[in-house]
Amino acid sequence: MPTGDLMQRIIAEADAQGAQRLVPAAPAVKRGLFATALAALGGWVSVAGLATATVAGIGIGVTSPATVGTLGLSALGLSAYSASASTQATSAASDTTYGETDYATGFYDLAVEG
Amino acid sequence: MPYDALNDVPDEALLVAYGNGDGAAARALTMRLAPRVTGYANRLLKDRAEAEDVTQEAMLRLWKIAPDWRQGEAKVTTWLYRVVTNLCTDRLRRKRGSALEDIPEPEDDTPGVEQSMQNSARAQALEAALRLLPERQRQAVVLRHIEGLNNPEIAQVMDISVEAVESLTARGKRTLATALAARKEELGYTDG
Repeated sequence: MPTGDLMQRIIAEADAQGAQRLVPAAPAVKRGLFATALAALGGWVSVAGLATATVAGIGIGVTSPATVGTLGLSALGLSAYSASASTQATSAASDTTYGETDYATGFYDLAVEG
Repeated sequence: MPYDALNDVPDEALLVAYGNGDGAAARALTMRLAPRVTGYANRLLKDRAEAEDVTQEAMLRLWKIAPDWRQGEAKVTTWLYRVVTNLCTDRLRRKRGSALEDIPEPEDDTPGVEQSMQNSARAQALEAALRLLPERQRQAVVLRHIEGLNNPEIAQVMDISVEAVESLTARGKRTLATALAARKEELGYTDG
């Protein structure tokens, strides 16, 4: 006859194997659309970098030499229009000329706020 | 469920029940099969401690295969004997690694048979004679005449043909008969 100790070991292994089979597999993590898109872009770190680059781009655009903006607006034939809200216009542009920030005021605020 | 209630349940049904999460079935199977496995392994290995190791390993394999057991393909005992035979063969080969020849080691003080049989002169004599047999003959003879398997079952266990089993058991019996001849009357052997 096997020793009682052996029988106990065998039964303990049977129990352990049985318990192992009962442990459910870890459920798959279900990701939402936003999380999926975030992961596709490389996670929060990458997205933060993208946001920084975007804001920086807007800032650069807003603070670009006024002549470029004015010339651009003139080329579009907008310089003839009067605009009382043209507070951002530079010295190179007349008071009646729309500055580029007149069309992008919201963006400038955003750039300042970060 | 108490063990007694499982006494009449076939091995295979118990194994399937265990595979489905019934721990009592595993206990019943252990009580039923472990002694047989230990006895068989002990006869092959002639080492009680190793026989118990083999028993534990074989039973663990049985627990692992339980959920995937295909009913009706093989008897649980046949499957188990096969596993034990292979495990014992591996151990004997490792042991024999440094030996130059396949001569059985001299009998030592390690108990080599089940306690009940150790008390019998006949069993002791048979055990001693069995040790004289080459490994494969010993496996076949033990499976046929001590474990009570039939030749097709032994063929499955040893992964050989039925004819090869018959040959091994016949040669084994001849060797045993020769070894026991001197003590035939004393031991009560009256047939071949």
